[in-house]
Order: sequence, then C-alpha cells, then structure tokens
Amino acid sequence: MMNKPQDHDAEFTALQTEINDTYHQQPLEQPSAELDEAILARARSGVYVTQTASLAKKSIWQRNAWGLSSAASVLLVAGLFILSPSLQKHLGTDLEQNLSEPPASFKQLKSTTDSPQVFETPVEDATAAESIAVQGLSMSSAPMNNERINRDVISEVSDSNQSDSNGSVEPQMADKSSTLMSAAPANIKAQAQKKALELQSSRHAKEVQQVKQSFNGSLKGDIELDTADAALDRLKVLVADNKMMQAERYMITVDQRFPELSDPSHPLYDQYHKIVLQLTSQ
Amino acid sequence: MVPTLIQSKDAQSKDALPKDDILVPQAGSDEQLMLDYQAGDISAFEVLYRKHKGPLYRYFVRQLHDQQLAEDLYQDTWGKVINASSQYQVSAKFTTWLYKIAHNLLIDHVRAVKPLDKVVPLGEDATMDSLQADAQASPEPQIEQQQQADMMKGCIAKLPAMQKEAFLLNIEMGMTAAMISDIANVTLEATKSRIRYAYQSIKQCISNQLQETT
Repeated sequence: MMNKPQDHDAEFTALQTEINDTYHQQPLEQPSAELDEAILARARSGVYVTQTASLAKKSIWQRNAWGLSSAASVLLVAGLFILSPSLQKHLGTDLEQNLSEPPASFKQLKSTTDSPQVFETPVEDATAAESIAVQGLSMSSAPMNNERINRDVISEVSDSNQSDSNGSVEPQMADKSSTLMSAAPANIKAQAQKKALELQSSRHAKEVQQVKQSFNGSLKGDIELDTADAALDRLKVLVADNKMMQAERYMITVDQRFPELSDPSHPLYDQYHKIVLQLTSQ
Repeated sequence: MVPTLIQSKDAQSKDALPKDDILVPQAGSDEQLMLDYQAGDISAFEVLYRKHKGPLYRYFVRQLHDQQLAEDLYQDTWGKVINASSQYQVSAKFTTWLYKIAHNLLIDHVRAVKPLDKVVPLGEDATMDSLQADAQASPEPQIEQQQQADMMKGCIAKLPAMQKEAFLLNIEMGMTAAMISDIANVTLEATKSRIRYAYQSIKQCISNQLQETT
C-alpha cells in the first residue's frame, strides 16, 4: 500500500525522462534572424530612450541642485535682510562691535602668550587711574568694571592702529605698556590722572555717539524702544529742540507703536495728549 | 536534465515568496543580467535574449497555429520586457516574470478573441487514449528519429491548451509545478495534474501512432 504512490512517481519520472529525451532530440524551432535583430534593436533603443529620459529628468533640477539651492538660500537671506530693517540694524551693530572689539579667542591668545603680563599692566594702570580719577575728580562716578576698561583700552589701541594689520597690534601694545612701565614713579600719578581723564572722555564720547545713533534711528521711523515712556521722552526732546517736523513724524510712529498712549486711562495720556495737541495745533 | 515535477518543501517555500520581497540576484543570473541591462549594458540583454529566445518562441509557436501571430506575440513579450526594464525589481525569478508576460499576452490576444486550438478541448482528467492519430500529422517514415519527432510535435499539438502550456513550460524551461501554477494562476494541484496528464497523453499518442505505422 505504501509503495504504490512511490512506484507511481517512479513510473512517471521514467516517463518524463523518456519524453524529455525524445523532445530534445527533435529539431527545435528558433526565431528568425530578422526577428532577433528587430528585438535586439528595440532593446538598444530602449536603453537609449531610458537613458535619455533619465538625463532629461536630471537636467532640470538634479544636475543644478546645488547651484539652485544655494541661489535660493542667498535670495532668502537677502530678502529677509532687505525686508527687515531691524535685522539690518542688529547685524550692522554686531558688525561694528566685532570690528571694534577683538574676539574672545584673540584675547585668550593674548593672555596665553608672553604679552599677558605686559598686557595686564595698562589694565591695572587704567583701573588705578580710574579709581584715582573717581576719588580725585568726581566722587559720584561709579567704579569701573575691569573687563570694560580692558575692552576700552583694547579698542583704543586698535583704533589708533586701524591702518595696521592685526599682527602689528601686539608689538605696539607692548611698546605702549613698556612705555607706561618705564615711566618714573614721580610722574605716575600725573600720567594716571591724564589717562583716567582720557578714558573718561572717550567713554563719554562713545555714549554720546550711541545715543545719537539710536536717536537717528528713531528719527528714521524705526522704534527700537520697548516702552512708551522712552518713546514719550524722545518725543519731548524733539519738541524741546523745536524739531517740529521730526516730532510730528515721530508722533505718528509712536501713535502706531503705542496706541495705548491715546487711552485716557493710561498714566502717560496727559503728557502725550499735551504734546499731540501742541504738535497738531501748529 | 530532467525537470522535477514534485518539489521539495524548500523549493515550494522559495517559490511561495511574497511578491514584494526583493531578492538578491546572483552574479550571472537572469535577474542580474536584467539589472545590468537596466543600467545600460546592452550585452547583458543579448545574453538574456539568447538564453530564452528558443523556449519562449516555441511556447508561442506550439500553442498557436498562426505563425505570424505567434511571432507577433513573441516580439510583444520582449517589447514588454524592454519597456519594463527601467522599473525592473528583483521580486521574483526572471523566467517566472517573462512567462507571466507571455501567458497574459496569450490570454489577452488569443483566448479572448480566437480559439487557441482547433482541437476539441479535453477535460482536465481526460487523456488521449480515445484519440486517433492525425493522418495529416503522421510524416512519411524516412528517418525514425525524424518520425518520432514529428509524432511528438503532432501529439503536443493535440494536447488541450491548459495541459500544453504546462507541458511546454515544464519540458522547455524545466519549471516546477509551483512556478507554472504561479504563471498560469492556477492551483498547484491542478498544475501537477495537467503536467502528469500531458506526459501520459503524449506517450499514449506516440504509441498509437507507432502502432498505426507498423
């Protein structure tokens, strides 16, 4: 019983072998040479068409992907820069700061080289001079931050050497400090006082310049101020300076920026309203 | 090499792979040749074509009485392969894919429009015991080998369409029943039956013809 299917399979395998042998003994039909050539020619053109199609697809975007994406990025940044004046201003300020201040790495580099001791000397001198100046000239002056003095000194040195390359700054600073160090002890006090005065005056000039810059910025219509109080103060200054045209323009800007000033319940309403009346009545 | 009809379990499971699975083709395999052609290597296609042209040609010629139609469908099959080469992925054996295209073309262009065979179709379980040898098909007995070959050709031509297709795929390409069932989209058991009956019918037909000639 169990051998019956196996015998059946063996029989069939024998049959398969026999017929297979007979089948492959006969001459087997083959496609004609023309038919072969036609199909192979089609295959060649098929490859050509596929390759051409892929090239055509690539030619538009894929081949210039980097260039196009770079151009798009530049356009985007430029567009943002043009459309956003505040960003322009910030970037401009940053650039100015970067130009006037040496980078932190530069400072660190200075501190790690031989010059730090030389470099520290004017800072310490400046701090001493500052304290002397505070005590001797102006009792109301607040003590200065060492870092800020340091920065001022660096900027002063770099300002005086703007035409020089970065490499020449260090020797000149060293020269300056060595000059300071070599000064006679009798003259130290006088020189310190002089230095303190110079520092104070330069700092004052910088502050005035910053105020002027921000003031000019506000005249152009850009309000950087975050509070209505400051805007109102600016407006008062303009009115006090009798710059009525500028004040009027600024008033419109303030009105748009701080509409709450037109609210009678606002604490600054009276002052603002008074100025508005003054400007509109003219 | 004798094609094996009854597959091992491994072979069955291999053929039963999901169609979306990507197979890794071996170097020099049909699948790799197709990928090479996809990459622009025309010589790969030529190798592939030379390997499959005979069996595929006979697949059509022996199933159709119309030589021109057979050649047209043969050309269409290769045309489809060429057109589909750009999107070709190794998700099945190349031969399975090729003969599926051929089978579908046969179904679309012939069976739906014209009768495939002028032979009265037999049932699945029918054999050719009841059939008489075709007088026109029996050649003059000049050479015994030629005689047998012609007899076989005549007997294959008498097979029912379903059996003929299964037989040709098995004997020409050595395809297993599982592969044939995948191509013809029928069950494995039905395919096995078709192949078995086809061989038995041909044997019987040849025996009948030999008896008649003697």
